[in-house]
Amino acid sequence: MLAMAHLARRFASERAPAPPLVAGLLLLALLLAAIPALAQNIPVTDDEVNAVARRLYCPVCENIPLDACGTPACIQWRAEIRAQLEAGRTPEQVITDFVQRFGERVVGTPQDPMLRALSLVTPWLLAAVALVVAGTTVYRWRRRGEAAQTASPTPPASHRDDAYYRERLEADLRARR
Amino acid sequence: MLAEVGFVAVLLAFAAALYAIVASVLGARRHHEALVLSARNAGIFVFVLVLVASVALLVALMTEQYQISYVWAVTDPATPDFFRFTALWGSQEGSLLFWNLIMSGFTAAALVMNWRSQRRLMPYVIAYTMATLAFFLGLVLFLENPFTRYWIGPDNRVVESVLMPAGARAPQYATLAQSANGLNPLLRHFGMIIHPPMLYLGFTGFVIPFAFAMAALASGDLSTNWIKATRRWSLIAWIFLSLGLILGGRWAYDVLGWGGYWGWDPVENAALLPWLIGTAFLHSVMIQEKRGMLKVWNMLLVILTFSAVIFGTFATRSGLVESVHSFAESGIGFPMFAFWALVTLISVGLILWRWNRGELRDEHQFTSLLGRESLFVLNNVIFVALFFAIFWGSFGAPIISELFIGVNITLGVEYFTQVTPPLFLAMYVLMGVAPLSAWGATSLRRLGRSLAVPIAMTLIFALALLLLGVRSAGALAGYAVVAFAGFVALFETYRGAKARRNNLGESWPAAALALFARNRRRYGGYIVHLGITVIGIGVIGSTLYQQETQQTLAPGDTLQLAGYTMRYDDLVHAIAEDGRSMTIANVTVSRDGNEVARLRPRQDLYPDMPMTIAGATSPFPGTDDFYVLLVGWNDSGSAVTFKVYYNPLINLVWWGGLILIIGTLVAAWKDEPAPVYARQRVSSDGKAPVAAA
Repeated sequence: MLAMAHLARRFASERAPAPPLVAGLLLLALLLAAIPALAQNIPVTDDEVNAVARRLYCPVCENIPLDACGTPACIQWRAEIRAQLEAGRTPEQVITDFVQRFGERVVGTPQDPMLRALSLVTPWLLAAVALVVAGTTVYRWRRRGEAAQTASPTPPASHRDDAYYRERLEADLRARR
Repeated sequence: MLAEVGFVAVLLAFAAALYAIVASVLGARRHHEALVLSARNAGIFVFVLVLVASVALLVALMTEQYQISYVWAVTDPATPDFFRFTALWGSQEGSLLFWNLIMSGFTAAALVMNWRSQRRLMPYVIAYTMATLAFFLGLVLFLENPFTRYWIGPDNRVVESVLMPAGARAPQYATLAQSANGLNPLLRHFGMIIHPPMLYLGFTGFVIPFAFAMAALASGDLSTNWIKATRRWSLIAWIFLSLGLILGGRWAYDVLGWGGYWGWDPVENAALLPWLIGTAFLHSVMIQEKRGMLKVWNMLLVILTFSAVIFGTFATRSGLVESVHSFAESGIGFPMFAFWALVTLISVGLILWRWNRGELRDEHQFTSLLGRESLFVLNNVIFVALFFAIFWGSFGAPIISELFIGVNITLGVEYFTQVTPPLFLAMYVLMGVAPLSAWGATSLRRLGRSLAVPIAMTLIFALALLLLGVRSAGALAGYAVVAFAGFVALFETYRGAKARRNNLGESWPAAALALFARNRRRYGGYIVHLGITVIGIGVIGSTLYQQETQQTLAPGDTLQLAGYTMRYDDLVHAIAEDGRSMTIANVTVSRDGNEVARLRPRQDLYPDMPMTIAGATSPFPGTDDFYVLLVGWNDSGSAVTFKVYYNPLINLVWWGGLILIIGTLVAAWKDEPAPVYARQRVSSDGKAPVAAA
């Protein structure tokens, strides 16, 4: 890799005549090849490490974000995140690597599309069903209430209660016999 | 001796609970008053016996009886007396006994206080509470006994047993004391000392409304009697559950060292679930009291609340949180699961039976979609949706995924912050609108008129935030919706006081006080809403605007965060009285060149446990907090790593919690009776006179 970078520098310093397209492509290829080598020196701050660690859960301790866990294993995993970031990996690549090695449990929401859908869509479906059921029920009750009011004027509450409790009393007495 | 006393007391309590179940059921069926009375006395005696057992364990803890395995596991000779006392609930066996003590206390109090007024329900209340107690006492007696002791068997092996096995001898006291465990360091914090009792009081308190609801179903007295009898019990349980949640959050903030108070951990969520359903029940029950509606729904809610209590206890104590398979390995996992399933099935079965007989018919019908009944139903739907969304994330999805797909998953903060905010915002909207709607029919115009002033106040508030620099649309919407609920509570209270002032010529303080005294339930409820509003503003601020940084500093170095400058001064090491070694950093925080605080973040290392506790600091009495964690250091202290958080508005969470508790206490307090002239006016309307002669 260093040789490639050296070649690029030499290519740049010699300014050898070349067709523009070929020279451009060669320069691009050399630059792309040189990126990982240059990335070895990317300085990574604690905050950048924590930003990735926060999105991961300790594979050993239950439900503790990796940035907050103080166990030796988690300190080591944070060091590994740093190493991967310093090597030029993006946060997404680091997270994918952790999921591949330790399973879906290390992320706050699964990366697998089916599990992700199961996790995130289900509560909304449940809430929508609950809302529809409640709405329908209230609407039906309201219709029934309106129909009852139209069919016969509402008797005074005391009469209604009397009839209701009389009916229940009779039922109780029948059950006791 | 103490082990024998405790064990026999638990055994007798278990027998008394079983006797109370049989006697109460027989007494009710045969209309044998003496049997029911005997069952009640047995129920009260259960409390006395569990108290004796708890005192025996407490004395054993205080007098360092390390032969008792529980005492050995949770204390050591260095444990201070205060922590010896709190070690009573420091581990599974003791906390189960403590759970029984609180539940039997609640039961005894309910049996005494409701005995005269609820005679028809009482036999069944006794049966249900005693069945629950018998189950938990059985767990203590047969599976998690805190009175087992260590013995050296004839073959020189250590055995654990309550009674001395044949040929065995007691181990040397000095050996036991030297090897004793000590209390888990995480539990040596004020929040954790008081948090479990509060949570247990909240959890176990819901056994009373549950038992009364079941008694109503079993006895056929399906009037509002059970609701009237349990309103205060429900509120008391709710207060303690709220306090438990708030203190748990404070403990997490102070001790766990991640800069927040709520991590959406399944254990935390297990306590939040009954609170959500309990809150829905407290609202829904008003509809049954006022309008005789939602009888089935209220029964379902109270069953779901208690079911959530049992499920939460099962999930956190059995190891279900770690893995669906580990609960089977735990001694109490299967019995608790069976009990939870049995309680839920029997309860739902009873409801269905009464429903089929047509005995749970509502007395009124819904007449308006904007009536308070409809809005309360919508409010209930939101609470239930929140319940299921949180249940799904904490237990449902991980269990289903592990059982049926074979993949372990965690639904963490990302899941909960995607799913719950819209539901919480809907809850705040309804919290504002529902109190302004009238029972029965309400027109849109009338409701709109009531809402005009609070909406105007909300718009002014949002505009002020915009001018102050809040640019995020999500934050603005969140603050506005949450504040709207608070403005409604404030405006309604103002309107009530103004009406009294205009009609009766009272001063503002006198009018406000009279308002609260005459209708504590309503205006106490508004205080609760105000508390929830303050909490909501704190949650939004501390979640959306939290800033953090982690840096390594040399003495004299500074770091900048959110306009504050923190200077690292020096590092000191010290040994505390209880043997832990403390590493303390001294830092100075300033703003605009002026010193605002000197903080001492620290880490504690316990000698027998390789565990460090991150000490955070919370120096500001206002709304914001500058939270410093000591993360690492070299031996000389020349390079120390700090993790620093700026948590805006976070203290509003605690202040809001305090307001919520005050409001609930006001709402639970008995209303002041109406003055004589008012009661006489009622009697002159042609109704039965109620004024005293």
